[in-house]
Amino acid sequence: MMFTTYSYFGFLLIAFLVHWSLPVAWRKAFLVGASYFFYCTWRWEFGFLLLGVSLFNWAYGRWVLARCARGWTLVLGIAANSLPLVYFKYTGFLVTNLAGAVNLLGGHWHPMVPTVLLPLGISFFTFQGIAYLVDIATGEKPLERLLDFLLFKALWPQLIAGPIVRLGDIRNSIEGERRLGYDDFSEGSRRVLLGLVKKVVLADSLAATVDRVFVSNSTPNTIECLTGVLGFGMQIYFDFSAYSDLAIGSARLFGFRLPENFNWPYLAPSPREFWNRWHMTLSSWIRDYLFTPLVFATRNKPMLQPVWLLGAMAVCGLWHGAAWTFVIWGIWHGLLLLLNQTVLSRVFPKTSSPGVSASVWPRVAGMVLTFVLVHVGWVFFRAPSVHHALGILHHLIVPCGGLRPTFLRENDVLLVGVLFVGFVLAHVWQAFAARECSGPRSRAWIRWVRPLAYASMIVAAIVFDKEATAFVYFQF
Amino acid sequence: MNNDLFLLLRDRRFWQGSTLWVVGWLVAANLAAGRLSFRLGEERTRNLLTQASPAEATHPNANVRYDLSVGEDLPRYLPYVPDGATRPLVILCGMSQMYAINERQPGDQTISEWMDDALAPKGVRVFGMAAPNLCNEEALFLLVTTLSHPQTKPVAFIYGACFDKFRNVDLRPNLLAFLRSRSDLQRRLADVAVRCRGEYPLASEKILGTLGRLHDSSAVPGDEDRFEHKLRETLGRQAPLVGLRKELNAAVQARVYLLRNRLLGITPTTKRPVIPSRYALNRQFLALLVDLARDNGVEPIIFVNPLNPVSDNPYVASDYAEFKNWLAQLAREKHFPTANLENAVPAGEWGVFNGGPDFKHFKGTGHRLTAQALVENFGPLLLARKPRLEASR
Repeated sequence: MMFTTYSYFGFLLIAFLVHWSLPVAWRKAFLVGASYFFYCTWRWEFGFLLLGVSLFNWAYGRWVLARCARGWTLVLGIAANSLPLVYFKYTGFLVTNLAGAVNLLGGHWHPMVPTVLLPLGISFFTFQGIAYLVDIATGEKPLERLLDFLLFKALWPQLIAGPIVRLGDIRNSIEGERRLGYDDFSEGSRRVLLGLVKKVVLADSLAATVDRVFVSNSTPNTIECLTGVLGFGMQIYFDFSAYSDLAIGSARLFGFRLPENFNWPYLAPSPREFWNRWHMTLSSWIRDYLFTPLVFATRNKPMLQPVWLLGAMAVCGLWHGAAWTFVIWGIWHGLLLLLNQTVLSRVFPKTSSPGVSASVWPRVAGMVLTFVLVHVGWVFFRAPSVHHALGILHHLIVPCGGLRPTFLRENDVLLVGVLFVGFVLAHVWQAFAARECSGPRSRAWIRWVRPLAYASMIVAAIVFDKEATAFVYFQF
Repeated sequence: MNNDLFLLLRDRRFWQGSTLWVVGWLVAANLAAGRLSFRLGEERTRNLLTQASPAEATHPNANVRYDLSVGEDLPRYLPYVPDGATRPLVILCGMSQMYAINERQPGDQTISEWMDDALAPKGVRVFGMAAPNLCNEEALFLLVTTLSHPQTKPVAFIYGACFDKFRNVDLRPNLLAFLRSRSDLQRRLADVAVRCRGEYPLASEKILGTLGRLHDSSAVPGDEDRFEHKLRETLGRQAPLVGLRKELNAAVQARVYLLRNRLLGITPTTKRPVIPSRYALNRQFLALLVDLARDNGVEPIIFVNPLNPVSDNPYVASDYAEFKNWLAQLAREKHFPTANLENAVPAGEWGVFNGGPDFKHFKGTGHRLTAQALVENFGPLLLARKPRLEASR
């Protein structure tokens, strides 16, 4: 059940009404049941996988790690969590690359690459499970009740595409009593609506153009490469942050406060700051459960720190998908973080405070440079192959093919251009003017305009829905 | 009702905040959508996006002689195709010029209907299959569709190759959905793609790409999608805003286009150069269409569409001349009948579009004249064709 379907909104409404109508004691069980129903609407078989992983983590955390938190028990727990992920997500990748290595060394091995269906959300709930075990091993109290743990693991808003929720983030909401307040209802609805519009109206309208540029057999010229890369930079932001908004908003309607995942990442004046604003729950997971432990374990060998950074970011890339393009994307960001700390430390401003300051121009320059470097990374992230990515980068650096698109329609280029201008203006507004406009006088007229804006957003989400756009053809 | 929902309803902010206003605006939007439905339908007709009245097809014995859904609901109109197994059948295929009638008058008919009137008494039936902005990949798909059943298999496939449609690619979503529902068509297309890989690599790769999209797991409708579809339809019957979402989407986009035109000074005759990759792909699809028709015993007939002689058009003259030369050369190489009908419709028979002369769509008389020109050029050839059953006896 996708977050943007009518089915989901029907499900959300029914779950909301039933949940808050039930006696408090039944609510958790209801949410667990609803979460499993949500997950099983895709493929019911994988509900057993989720249940199995959940039972293992709960039992392991409560009876093994809570009593005997030695290194090997933790490693065993992490390995057990990682196994399903490795099997479902990386089997094909590992077999293909192993065969390639064998053949490169003179052997002859051409195995059948198995096609394994990837369970929805497995990357997210695996990382969540590992984080849980590490937290228990480092002193966090495990969840005593199985029902609490099943809810922590399966709560549907965060199950499929994050945010990656740690126990500490929602422990109080799980163990304590949740009440329905107007603030939760209002903020939850607002975030759901915002996410819906970002996904349906913005991300999906960019998708077709971006797909054309990045399809494996395309040979885009410079203007098309630029269109594709800028379009993808916006699309992925709208898409990812929309999912997060929908997740955070849905959870808020049931009294859970999930951690934020995005904070205007393209306003980051440095790569380091970018990762404090982009997919924040993943970057903090990588930092806390991979990079920092490695650095701590080798604290007597500081020269290894850059290696761990690159390695951690490579894992971050691989987590996104089983392909070398993702690994390169991760390593690219690792390099940027490394350069940010070392030779380019003077180029990128250190401050992370938003708004106008005396050092506005270095900050703007840092934003622009970070934006460009991040978009170089997006080429590898989106391209179907390393070869294709290099071709696109080559065409971006060495102009070719004239100023007219060779296979995109002019309207596609225009659409991306107009959205990009709007995107930049929104960022400029957020960086320099948003705070100025939050005074009492502004709030008065915003109060009147807001309902109309919300209603317009709902209408836009209905009208621009993917199914609806399929019908449109124009004479001119 | 439990305390929590009560608490929410008893909170003053719930009643004073945005919630009720949003509900109020949505009710108003629904009422407005309900009132708009008629106007939107008129607007679509005015923009020649659909035919004026598909209602006539609701009667099972209706005399439907072309796909009234103009590509949006092809399976519904395939049963109306005259039986090609017993009488020679001609399929007339092309873009909106084939069905759109400017300033429609009672008694006006489309090109395929005029042709059918002229040829049916002599034993040859004509059926029209057109869609707005039809590209050559779609024309090929329509040919494959007609070849898939003895009753719809024609003796001749007449196609109006429109130069500016060489800027378009891809099957439209509803044709894609139709293809998804027909595994036999998928097999036929895959077979065509494999066989033409050497001669038409671009077209072959494109067909395989299209078929690949069908098998993409996210594109295959499952139980969940079917439920979602039913839910939308049900909700659409209750809430006009949902029911009219496609029309509203078209209307919004039409206004966006008009705004674009105003801001950038674009008119219907602003020059539109060819898009090289798309042009090359469409050329391969057209040549493939000719080969495929021939291989299946169907006579391919390609003509250059009528063009308003007084109106300026968006074609770059040199590009258009090159296109006509290429088509003529292709006809010589592959020995298929062709005609240039650019001047078939005189100046007075064209309509008005966006405040200026419509360079592509004509009035009712234009349809009659085009049909006449087609019959004059290709009539003897069509009448000489025997139905396949007779031929095989």
